[in-house]
Amino acid sequence: MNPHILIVDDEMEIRETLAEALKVYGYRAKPVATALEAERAAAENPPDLIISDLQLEDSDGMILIEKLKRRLPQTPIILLTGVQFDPDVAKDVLGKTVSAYLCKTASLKEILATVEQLVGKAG
Amino acid sequence: MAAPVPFFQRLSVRVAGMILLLGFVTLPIVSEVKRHAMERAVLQQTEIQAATATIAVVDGIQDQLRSAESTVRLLARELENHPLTAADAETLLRDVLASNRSVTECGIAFEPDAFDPAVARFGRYAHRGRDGLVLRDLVATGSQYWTKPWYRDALARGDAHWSEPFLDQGGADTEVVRVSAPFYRQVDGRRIAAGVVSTGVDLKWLNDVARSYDFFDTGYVIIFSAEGRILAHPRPQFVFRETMESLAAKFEEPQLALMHERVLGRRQGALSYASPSFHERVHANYKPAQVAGWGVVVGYAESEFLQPVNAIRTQTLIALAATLVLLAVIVLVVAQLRLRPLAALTRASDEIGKGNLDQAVPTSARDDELGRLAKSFEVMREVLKANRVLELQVKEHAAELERTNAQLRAELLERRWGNQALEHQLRYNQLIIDSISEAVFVLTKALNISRINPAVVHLTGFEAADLVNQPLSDLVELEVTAPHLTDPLGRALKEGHDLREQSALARDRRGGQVPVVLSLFPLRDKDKVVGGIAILRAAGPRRPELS
Repeated sequence: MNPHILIVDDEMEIRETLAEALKVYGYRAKPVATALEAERAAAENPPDLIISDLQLEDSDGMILIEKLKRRLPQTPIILLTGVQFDPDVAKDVLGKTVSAYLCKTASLKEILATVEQLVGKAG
Repeated sequence: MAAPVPFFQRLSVRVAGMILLLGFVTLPIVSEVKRHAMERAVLQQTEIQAATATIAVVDGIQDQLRSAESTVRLLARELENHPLTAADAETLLRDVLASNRSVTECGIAFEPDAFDPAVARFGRYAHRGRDGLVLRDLVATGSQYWTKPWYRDALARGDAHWSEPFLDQGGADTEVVRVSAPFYRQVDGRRIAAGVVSTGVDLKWLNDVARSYDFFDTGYVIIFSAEGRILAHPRPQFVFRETMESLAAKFEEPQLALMHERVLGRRQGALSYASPSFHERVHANYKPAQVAGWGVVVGYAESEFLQPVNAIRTQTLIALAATLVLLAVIVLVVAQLRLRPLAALTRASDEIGKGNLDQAVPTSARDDELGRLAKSFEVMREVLKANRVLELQVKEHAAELERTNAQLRAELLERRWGNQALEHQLRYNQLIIDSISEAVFVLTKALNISRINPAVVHLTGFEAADLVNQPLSDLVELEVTAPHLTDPLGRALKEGHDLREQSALARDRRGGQVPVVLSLFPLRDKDKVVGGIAILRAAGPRRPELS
């Protein structure tokens, strides 16, 4: 079965576009907007990979990531942040707690390459 | 290579099997119908023979009995008009016995006074003895002949009368049947019964008659009297000891009693029934004799005549079955030979069915159904092959289209994602600028205003539309600190260095002036100055507007 990816982002366009792109490449993608929805979705159908924004409407992304890591310690997580962070600094500081760090200005190709690297190609 | 068709599924084997099946189903029916017809024909023929034999037996009996009856009648006629002495009577009796070997006894008896008024009764009787003829005086022997049935019944009937057969003990000592007839004389013009004459007939000849018509192996003749007494029978122990009724009861064979009853009714006919006494099915013809009320049964076991029919039937069945098997083998061989091209055709179509459209269908020059079928298959294969090429081409085009679509979709998504990233970036950039509490102006290289933040509106009262594309110098005037310097803002930008913390006056919408501190920072794209950022910070209370 193709890898299942949970996308957490409060910006609808971002999460929907990313989910659509992942589906085009054969992944199963579940986009959610809030930390609460993310926890519920992860409990119902544990994902193979989590892509999360840092700033969420109802919580801080790092807190959510910590919770998800406790629940799913083997599941890789990609942190996808906006431009308010200095990319180089954020990569060094935040990237240590996640499997990969990516800026939202990164291209889709770059994001998909990282996904493929973490969970493999979708059949 | 397709697997060969299993033997029992081959068309030729099935056709042969159907022939066999059809044959073995219809064969017993046809055979049974044929056997039935043959049996009927045989039985009809046998019945005719049996009926003929019955008539012959009856005729034989009648000849004998009629002969005895004629003798009695002649004797009676002789006595009617001729006076008779005792010696004449004895001579007459001797003559009768001498002239007729079947007659064993003979008697003459007179009514009272009829022989001689001087003699009350007169009767003479003669029979054959061991040592010759024996004469008896019926009156002297005290036989009281006038009380006997042969005498009394003949008178009563006024005609010849036949007795029931009996054992003539003391007489001929043999089984005899007696016929008696009255004779008459004219007395005073009246015809008066004068007496009775009788003869007894020995019944030994009956067995000869019965045996002479005993035809075939199982044929038999039964002769019985008016009262049903058995006079001739294939089993001698029944003769004179049984009657038709007693045998019917003994063997639970009611047909015997029925035949007796019908003979009494002067009827003739035939019965076919399972006989317990003969232990098989018999056919029995019965016929009454015209004399003495006797009856004759001529019968035979049907099996004797049906046996050849059954043998013929068995032989016919075997011959037909052998013919059928031979026919099935011939059909099998011929069909195999004729259908051989079909096997090759089947193999080819199997290959085609598996997708091997390069497998050529073996066609032949035959113009029969198989040849045409093979040609049709070949045409079909070529059409299928052409279709497959088309199908592959369509698939390739579809795959190409799909790839192009996927690529386009990916490109669209990439573009959408890029636009969103750019929008995100711009939004955050604007957010950063807008969040600064000091008035920020983004300037072109010519120091015209290109963008402001909300703090500018707050400071000056001007909206962005009022200021965009206006020279900064129309809004802000530097308080000159170095008179020798002209246009310090343009110079700083041109030279690409910052101008920090310069006192200036900013004009507001109402015509007043606001003392501010101005800092100018060049905007660099790599090494090239493409514009500037001016930041104003309020430095004192607002001065009233100029009048």
